[in-house]
Amino acid sequence: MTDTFGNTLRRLRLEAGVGLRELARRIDKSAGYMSDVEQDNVPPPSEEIILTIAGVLLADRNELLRAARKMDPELSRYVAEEGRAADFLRMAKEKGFDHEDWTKLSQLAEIAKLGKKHP
Amino acid sequence: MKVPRLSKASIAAAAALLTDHYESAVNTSVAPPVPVEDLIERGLNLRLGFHDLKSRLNLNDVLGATFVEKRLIFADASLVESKSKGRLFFTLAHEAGHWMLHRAHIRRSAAGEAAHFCRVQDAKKPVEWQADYFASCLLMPEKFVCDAFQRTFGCERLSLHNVHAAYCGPLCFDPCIGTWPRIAATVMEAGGFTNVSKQAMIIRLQDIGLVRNETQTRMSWDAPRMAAF
Repeated sequence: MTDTFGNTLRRLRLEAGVGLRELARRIDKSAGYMSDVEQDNVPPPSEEIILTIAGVLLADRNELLRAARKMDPELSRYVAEEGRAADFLRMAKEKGFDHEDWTKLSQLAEIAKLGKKHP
Repeated sequence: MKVPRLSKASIAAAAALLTDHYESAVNTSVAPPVPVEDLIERGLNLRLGFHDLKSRLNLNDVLGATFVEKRLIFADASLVESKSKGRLFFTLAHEAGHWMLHRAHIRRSAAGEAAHFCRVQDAKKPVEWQADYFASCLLMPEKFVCDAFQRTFGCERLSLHNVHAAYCGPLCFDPCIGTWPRIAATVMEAGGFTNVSKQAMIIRLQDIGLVRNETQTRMSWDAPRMAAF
């Protein structure tokens, strides 16, 4: 179970040693809005803002996106453009793939040397 | 809320304790400007928030709030938007003072949620005075103030006998009541106290005994006369 977006953001911000007002200033948002975000009083910001935050904090963008239950815009575009990826994900959803299934799939992809970057 | 009387020395000790704890926790040494937001977040492990408290609480003179059970400290958003940040940092340090000195009393005296709201109209109540004094000690530690003062004004304290300056030019000025903002600004610049107001500094200088007002005139802002400072 992942933590809330607000808690995750606060933890990563403190680890980065960035103040709340400083973060707000660097992403061009008000300190009041950012404190509402950290206290989960408002929904997490948009994917683009989350990526900007990750950049400012030098934090793992996937961790922040996961905590916000949002998808990396790059992945969204990829799935939209690659129809078979969408079909595969639909199938995985229908079959109810669990964590173990996804681990096995990743291992299979490694063994089969899928993808252009594999020698 | 009624609180027991606390001596200045015990309040100063509480401020020093927080600084010491923060220095150990974060493995750093604190010097002005004292990082009060980080002291609250990483030293006290409290959440920090900025809200339009005046609207949310329907109190037109509220500046800060401390929620004990939620471990939250709020400053009013108007302080964040203000050009001069001295009041913001003082309010945050003041709320940290309530946490350090009064959280047990807040918890005990709460009918509902254990919270304390700081209003301008309550400034003279003991609970607020104690938090103010804590903020003053936290943001302007005596050692650093004394060092900065001695580097600029020497080892003798300043006794201000005159209300107006005989000379007040660009290179030097005649210390008197009328030039208190420049006295405060000089110490602030020498000591790196960039997050406190001149008003807070002159009060601290008097409290430590480095500046003494020998006249009957108060050192406070008087817009028309002080505009030049």
